[in-house]
Amino acid sequence: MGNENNSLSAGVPELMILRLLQDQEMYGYEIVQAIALRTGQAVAPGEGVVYPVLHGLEKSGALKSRRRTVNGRSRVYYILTAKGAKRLNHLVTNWNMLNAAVQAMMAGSAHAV
Amino acid sequence: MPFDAVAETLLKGGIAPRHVRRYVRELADHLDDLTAQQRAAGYDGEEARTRARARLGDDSELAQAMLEQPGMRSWPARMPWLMFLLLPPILTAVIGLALYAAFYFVGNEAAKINAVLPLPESGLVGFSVAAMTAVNVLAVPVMTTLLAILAQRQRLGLRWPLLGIGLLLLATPMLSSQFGHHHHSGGLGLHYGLVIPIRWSLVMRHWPLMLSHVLALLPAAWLIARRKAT
Repeated sequence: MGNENNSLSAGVPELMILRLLQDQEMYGYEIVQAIALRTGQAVAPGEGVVYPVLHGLEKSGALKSRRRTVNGRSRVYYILTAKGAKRLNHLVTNWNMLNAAVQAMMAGSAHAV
Repeated sequence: MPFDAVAETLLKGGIAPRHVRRYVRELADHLDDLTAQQRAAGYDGEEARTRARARLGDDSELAQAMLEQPGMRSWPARMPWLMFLLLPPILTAVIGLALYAAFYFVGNEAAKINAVLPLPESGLVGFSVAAMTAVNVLAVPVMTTLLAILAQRQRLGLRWPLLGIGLLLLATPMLSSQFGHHHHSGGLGLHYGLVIPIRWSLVMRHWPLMLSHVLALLPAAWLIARRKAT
C-alpha cells in the first residue's frame, strides 16, 4: 500500500469494486453492470478483466467469495471483509487527495490562462 | 471451449491451474449473461454471441489481466528448483523409507514368532518381503510420474522435470533388510545410485533396480511425446 499515486489510474478498479461490495455481495457480471451504470458508461474496460482484480483482492484478504445457486445458475459471489473495508478507506483517502490535487492544478492553470 | 486459448496462455505463463479453471468458468458464466442481455436487446443467435464476446474482451486482454496479478503463479512456476530438484528426492526417501520400515517391522515380528513357535511359515513374512520389493521398485517411478503430470498440467518447460527425473534416477534408493532370528536382531541397509546395465548378469542381480529405472523413465518419454504432439 502507499504507492497508489505512482500511476494515476492505479487502484481505480479496486476502489470501485470495493465500494460496490461495501453495500452488498455481488457476482462479477453484476459488478461490471453496476460500474457501467454508476459511471454512465465512462468506465468500460473489457468486462472479463474484472475477474483477475477480484481474484487478486480475494488473495490479499480484502474479499471473500462463496458459490451460490440463484435461479438455477451457480455463481461466485464476492463479499467485502474487514481487511477490505480498511483497504477501501485507504484508497478513498488517496483518491480524495489526488482528486483535490488535480482540481487545484486545474484551477491554477485556468487562473493562469 | 470458448476460452481454451486464454487458459493455455495462462498455464504457459505459470498461473496456477486452480486459478485458471476458476477464471475460465467465471468468464463462461459472464459470457452467458452477456449473450442473454444481447438477445433481450433484440440480437439473435450468432450475432448476440459475437457481440457478447466482444464486450468481454479479446483473448490477449483477458490473459494479460490475469498475468499481471501478483500471487497467481503456481509454486512449480515460481520455484521449479524446489519442486523438481530438491523436494522429490527428499519426499521419495522419507516416504519410501517409512513404508519400507513399516513392512519390515511386520515381517520381522512375524519372523520372530515363527522362530520361537512351531508354527508353519507365516504369510505375513512373504507379504512383507513382496511389499518391501514393491516399495524399492515403485518409489522412484511413482515420483517421476508425479513430476511428469505436474509439468504437463502446468505446461512447464521440459528442462526442470527432466532434470528432476534424472536426479531421481541418479539417486535411486534401494533398501535391503534381514529379518531377525534367535540370536540376531535383523536390520535395514540402504544403497543408492544408478545401475548401468553393461552385463546381463548385472541386470539379473539388480533386477528390482533395473525395473525401477525403466519404469521411472517412462513418464519422461510420455512427457516428451506430449510436447512433440502439441
